[in-house]
Amino acid sequence: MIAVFALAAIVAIVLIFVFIARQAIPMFWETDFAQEASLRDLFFAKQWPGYDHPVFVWQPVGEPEKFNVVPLFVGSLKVTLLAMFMSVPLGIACAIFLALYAPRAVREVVKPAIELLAGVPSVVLGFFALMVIASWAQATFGFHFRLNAFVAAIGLALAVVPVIFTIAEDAIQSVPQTLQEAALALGARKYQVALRVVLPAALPGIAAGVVLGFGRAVGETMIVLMASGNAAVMELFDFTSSVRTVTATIAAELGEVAQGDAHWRVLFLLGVMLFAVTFVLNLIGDLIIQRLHKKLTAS
Amino acid sequence: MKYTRKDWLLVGVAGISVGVILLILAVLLGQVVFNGAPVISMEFLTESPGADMVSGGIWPAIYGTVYVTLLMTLAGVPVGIATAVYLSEYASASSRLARLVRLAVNNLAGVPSIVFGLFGLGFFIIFVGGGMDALLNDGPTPVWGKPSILWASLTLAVLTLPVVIVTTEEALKRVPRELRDASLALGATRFQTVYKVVLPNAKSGILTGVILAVSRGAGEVAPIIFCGAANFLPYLPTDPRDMFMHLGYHVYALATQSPNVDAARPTLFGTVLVLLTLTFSLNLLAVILRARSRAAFRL
Amino acid sequence: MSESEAAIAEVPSSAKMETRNVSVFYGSNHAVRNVDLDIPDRSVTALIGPSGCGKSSYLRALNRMNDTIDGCRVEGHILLDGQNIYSRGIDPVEVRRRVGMVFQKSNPFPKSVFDNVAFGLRIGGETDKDVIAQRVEESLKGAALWDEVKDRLQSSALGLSGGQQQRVCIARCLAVWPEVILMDEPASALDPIATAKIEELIRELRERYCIVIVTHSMQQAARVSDSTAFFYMGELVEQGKTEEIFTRPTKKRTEEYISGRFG
Repeated sequence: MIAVFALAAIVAIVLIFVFIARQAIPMFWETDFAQEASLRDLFFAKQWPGYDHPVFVWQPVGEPEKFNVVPLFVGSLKVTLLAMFMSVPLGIACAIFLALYAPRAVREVVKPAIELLAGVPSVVLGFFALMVIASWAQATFGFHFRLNAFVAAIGLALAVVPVIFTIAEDAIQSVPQTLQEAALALGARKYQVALRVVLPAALPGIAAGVVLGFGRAVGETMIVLMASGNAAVMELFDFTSSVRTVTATIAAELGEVAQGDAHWRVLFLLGVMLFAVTFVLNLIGDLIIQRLHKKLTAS
Repeated sequence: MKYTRKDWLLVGVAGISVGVILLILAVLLGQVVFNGAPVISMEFLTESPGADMVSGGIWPAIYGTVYVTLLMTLAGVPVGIATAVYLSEYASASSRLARLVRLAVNNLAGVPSIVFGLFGLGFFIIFVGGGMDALLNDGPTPVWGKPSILWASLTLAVLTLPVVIVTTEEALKRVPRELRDASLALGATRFQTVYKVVLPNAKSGILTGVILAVSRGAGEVAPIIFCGAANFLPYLPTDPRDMFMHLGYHVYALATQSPNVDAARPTLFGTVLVLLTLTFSLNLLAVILRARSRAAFRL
Repeated sequence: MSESEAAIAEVPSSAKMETRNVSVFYGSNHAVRNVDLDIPDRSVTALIGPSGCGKSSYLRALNRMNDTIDGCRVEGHILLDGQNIYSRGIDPVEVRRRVGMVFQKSNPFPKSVFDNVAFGLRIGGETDKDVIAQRVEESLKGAALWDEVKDRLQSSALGLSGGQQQRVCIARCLAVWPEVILMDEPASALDPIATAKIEELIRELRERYCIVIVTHSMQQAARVSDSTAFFYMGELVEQGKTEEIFTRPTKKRTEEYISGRFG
């Protein structure tokens, strides 16, 4: 009988997928939709009237409505990669310091402090990025846009670092003491033990943390909604320009759209794609861990 | 132990990383307290906001946050505990159903918060609410099929389900095997054993999980943006079908939609301070409980 | 240098390592008390005694592994080739390159067999691939493991049997060309056949190395060692040629332990 309750989790996942898809799928056969947007336009560059070459543009309120999702995914990827670039080294370095070098007293104080960061709601991190980090960045670097990918990435990194730190620290702590002793007995210096024995042995755990962190960053909404500038610009390499992520797009625009509209359907389609991406990331994460585990324990 | 140059380099880099994180955390908290504390007063906490959203207090937001979080807890915790009980006490480790449930829980934990918002909209509001309207409601205006505390709390309940499940399972695992064996050996059924022996002994661990879930749920904004949160309501919600104001949502709305962000600054910081105080106290409570419950089983 | 230190340094001795008045403290616990013991080169010295008598603590002092334990203090003189390894200017890392250790439970790194054995060389700064490959082969041969693993050098060391893993650890230790090898109950976690192989290996290694082995098995000490030291409650009760200790012990305590009256 209890098993019925346990099904809840499975049911929830299925329902989520089904009912989001349900709002998006009609686009494949609705004629109204086809009038306003074609599936091809969603993903490929199109030369709109008034432009001299094909472009990727997300401009649902333009005339005609332009629904290309590529700038949104580019925006998400940009901010996420930049955030990971900042947070992975930071998180791992903090884990190394606390697990291997810090005296017990320091560890007992600093570890909860970093985990405190994990308890900060993302809306507060977004607020912090918007109000404080953006001004600091503007004053220090003189960006053209006050809210941009860089600022949003810093905010995102603050959300991701605790995830990576906690998992990496755990993984490093779990490396058996006897391996460290073996290395020391062979005449290794402490940094050699850390970098050549402990870190490699902790790799599956750390990899799990990185994948989890990536998933968290990709799916994060409030921080990017508040701090990224929200301009759906198709810009690949400039991190100082404003961006629009998939998540922010859904959050910002759904409130303004009529139910059943083409815009509505596309937003739900974005939701489906987002769900699929995080689902796949989750599976990949599990696979990586299983494979690394096999490699490190026995072939 | 002698440290070489490279040792110091590693310690230095790692230590600086920790320093950076702690610095940012300190700045964040410092700014919030420094700018927010002057705003806090009895009026601020107990009055409704004025029409400009900046003057007056944030009482409705506090009320709404508590209301929705309470409903979320009532809905989600029993299901979460039941699922954890199933995974820990009933299912064998390799059973297909158990593995599927765990997969679902893992994936649920990784679903982006905005996707939960879409779920709340597509499933609860449109499908369930719309269905209820079709069956029960005669008039043209939707009674059930619209954003409200009810649907928002159910959506949040699904979002925090993984937190409850994982922490409850951890707590159940910590109950020594011997206790279960003793109960079964006396002729108790599995259900009796769980209900009278295992659960009471896992009480504080489970409570920890509930508190963490509450803290998480109180801070989430993206799922409730189109599921019931409102910018400004002249009344307090008394019916679960009403919409509600919310601390986190208030921060988001003021920060991004205020005509005059500078004027809104004090209110913003004050609201953030209240929200952070709420989530931090809950987290602190959970940490203390967790430490006590671990100590209880350390002989 | 004090007078006594100078005196010790000047006297030539055939002992590879000499320990004078060595004590090991864990906090206030006086675990090893005033041990005077000479360890000759190219021979096997066994340390026997009941569990908790301090033999492992004493062993770990010989390569300064006790440095890694919080609150552990070593007093007295421990000389390697006449030089005090605990004196101020000495780098413990250097000591550990000359005095290697094999642990009770084999602890190969979760890396390939090759990378395990090459580890000590690489951290010592060796980058020449050929040199490394050659040393790895030599060491594995020296540990009587080459034939068994030569076709699977790149596979994980954790996939080997317990006895093979321990021999990987021995090969790993040999690769850095230590002068002394310390073994802390190296075969206690192994089955009889694997144990026999390890003991045979020890007898071979004796030709080139100074070996100190801690063992709780008197039979093993009798089979494998040239001299034996009996520890009891942190003190060195008696030491001498293995044959004599086991047939004509001079101290009553030794006699009781050997005849199994306690332990």
